[in-house]
Amino acid sequence: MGIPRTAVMSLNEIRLRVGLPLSLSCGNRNLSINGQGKLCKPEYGVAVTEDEMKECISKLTRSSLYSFDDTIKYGYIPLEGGARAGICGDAVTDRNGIKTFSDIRSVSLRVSRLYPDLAKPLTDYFTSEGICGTLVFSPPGLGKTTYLRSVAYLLSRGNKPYRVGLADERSELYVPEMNGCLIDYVRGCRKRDGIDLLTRTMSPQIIICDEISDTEADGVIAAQNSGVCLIASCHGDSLEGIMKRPHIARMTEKGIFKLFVRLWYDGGYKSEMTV
Amino acid sequence: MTKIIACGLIIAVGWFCGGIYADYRQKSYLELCGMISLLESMKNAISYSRTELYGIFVSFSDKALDSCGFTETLKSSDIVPANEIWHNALERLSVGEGIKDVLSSFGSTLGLLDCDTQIERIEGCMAFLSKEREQMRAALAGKIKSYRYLGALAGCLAAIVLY
Repeated sequence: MGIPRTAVMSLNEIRLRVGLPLSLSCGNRNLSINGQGKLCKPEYGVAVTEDEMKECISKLTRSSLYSFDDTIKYGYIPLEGGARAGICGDAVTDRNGIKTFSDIRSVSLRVSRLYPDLAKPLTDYFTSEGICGTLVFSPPGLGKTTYLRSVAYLLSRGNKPYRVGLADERSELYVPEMNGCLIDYVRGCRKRDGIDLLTRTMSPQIIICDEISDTEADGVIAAQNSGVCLIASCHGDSLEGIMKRPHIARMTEKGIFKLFVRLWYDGGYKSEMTV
Repeated sequence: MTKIIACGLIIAVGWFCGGIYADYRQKSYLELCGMISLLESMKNAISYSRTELYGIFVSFSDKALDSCGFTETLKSSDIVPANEIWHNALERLSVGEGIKDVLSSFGSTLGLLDCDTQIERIEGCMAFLSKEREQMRAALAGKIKSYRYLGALAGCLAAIVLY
């Protein structure tokens, strides 16, 4: 195929769209390919047919879409190995919100990777300055989950391993490559419930979760009063921007977050820490 | 003496042919009963534990569906989409075309629906098949034996004509 090797190595998403161009997300670039497998503009890109999308969904769900009702209403299908398929299309709603999709028109296949040393600057900081609550932020698709995976991996092994709990709501953080790690994870439940359960029953020293939002802040604050360090992520492109969100500001005031890590992509994944 | 033996053989062949036809009619009925049983299993497994379809197929067994190869086809793969496997398996059944059409329509969305809708479709299909089963049972009642007797009678007539 005519896709550059560097693009393949930095591939983090494959998007299928019924009647619209297929695209590959590589770093901060979106690439389309034509019928011959060569890069092209989106308008010439290969599109997925309805039958192909049905076959894709069938294979992702092992022909059992009904067994993913709990996650489909949140727009994703968890896959083995920490991967995730985001979905959208024609929603069916009830009084509680989205119930399911009558017609799935787009699938975003996230490629999960473990880059063990991605968060080494952060863990080196913890080694010298001590562990503290940390918030990792970036715009969508720039490696927050991959970064948190690396944090969990590095902190839970080595000369001074910590007991790390993962509140893995979307089954993305834990991957089978995390061998030799002192990790306990709770999957498929709300972060607030996962954090509460881990704190009560697994006595973690650090809890890691992805995409903290305002609906979870109260529960997280209540659970965090137990003194366990929380390392989490959220969407945002600047510290000033994320501090404008009431729940982030509140959690920072409560002392849950003392360190902030900004991620961005510039030919490779970059990070910057702010206390 | 030879003629008597020959007549006896002809009547026995007639009885045997009547029995084969009776078995064929009954086979369709038994396969229909097996399909209803399969749908019941699917409904229970999906309702209570959201079991994957491949898991439901692997653990299901029915004498009539096993002997025609339907269940073997269902269990043949856990990679091919379930709706495709279902359509392939339907080829093994000897039920009527109307019933096959309904099963085919049911199979086209198998495994592609949310839980509530999937169960609704299963129940709808079961209701139709149950009605067909009752009609078939009423039609077959008493006819199974009469097919054998008709076969023997045909054998008698053939023997009379020949001798």
